[in-house]
Amino acid sequence: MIVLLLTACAFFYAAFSGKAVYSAFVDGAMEGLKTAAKVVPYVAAALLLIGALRACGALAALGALLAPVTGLLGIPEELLPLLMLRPLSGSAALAELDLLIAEFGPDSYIVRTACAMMGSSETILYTIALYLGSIQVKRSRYILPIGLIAGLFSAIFAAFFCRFA
Amino acid sequence: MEKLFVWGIVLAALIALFTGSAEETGAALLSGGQAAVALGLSLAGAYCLWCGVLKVMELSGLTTKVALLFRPLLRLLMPGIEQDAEASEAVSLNFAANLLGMGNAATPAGLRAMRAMQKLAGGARLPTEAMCMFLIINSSSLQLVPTTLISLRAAAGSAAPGDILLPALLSTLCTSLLAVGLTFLVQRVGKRSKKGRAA
Repeated sequence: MIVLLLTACAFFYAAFSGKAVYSAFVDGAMEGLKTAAKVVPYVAAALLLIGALRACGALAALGALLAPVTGLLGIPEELLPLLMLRPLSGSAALAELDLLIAEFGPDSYIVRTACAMMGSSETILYTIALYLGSIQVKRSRYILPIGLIAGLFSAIFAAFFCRFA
Repeated sequence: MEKLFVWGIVLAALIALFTGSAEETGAALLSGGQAAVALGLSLAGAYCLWCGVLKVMELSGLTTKVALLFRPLLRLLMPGIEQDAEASEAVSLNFAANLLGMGNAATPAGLRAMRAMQKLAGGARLPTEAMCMFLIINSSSLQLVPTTLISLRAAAGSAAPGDILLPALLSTLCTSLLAVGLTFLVQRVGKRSKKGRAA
């Protein structure tokens, strides 16, 4: 709905001010296609790293290790897998949320917290790989640590606010 | 990225050998590559649309108007960027799309912003401070209304699927403020230590 409206309005406004909409659109689309192609190798690196860490059990082990600490911070233990998956993969996090909904019901504290947490964080690793990859920059300075801290706090804040709201 | 990538894979391989899950882990590597290409194809479709629309908006001067709205914010968060029309327009569009929850429209604008900022920095091979701030803002969600999550809960038969709106909004706000604050801090400290070394 919003997609359609936005596109139509942009086209109408441009045509109204006497611009050549069609050729501009095609130009832009070509640019988009090139960008998508450039990004694939970087995304592949990120996704295969995530896949390997999940498949070998490292993520689950890290979760077990973290459980006492996150418990102190008020994050329910049931949300740890989601907390680990969230920065890594959007689709894996959605799949995990589906499991939580099936297990605890959509109106449970766990699921509400999970939703608030998903809504206030991003797939950091993927975003960084994509954005830096698109300009062929290979070092990320302090972006990843700050992103991960923000991700952890999104869970803390979500667990806290869902208790009241 | 370099260290994370190498050591992540080496660690995974070691664990897999010890726990006997080498087959699955190897398969995960392959399927990761396949997933990236599949994702690339679906991204390419969305990028075609959004980059096309962006170009049209740019031509008609709409992007300049959006940038004007975000100018005070940019001056505060990413000083230097608001002087450059191309970069500030792309950054503003990315923020606007993120706020509206249109992730697949935000990304092409974001990638364009990265390119413009790189050009502004004279082809930097290291992310500039503005790029770091931009990426950190992008990696802590800005979304005002989590539409996907609300519809997921509705589909599962929730009594009030929209009641996560407030907690989600509050935690988004707190998380983003925290991320921006931390970035400010790191950048301030970085500047001071550089000055110290020079003196």
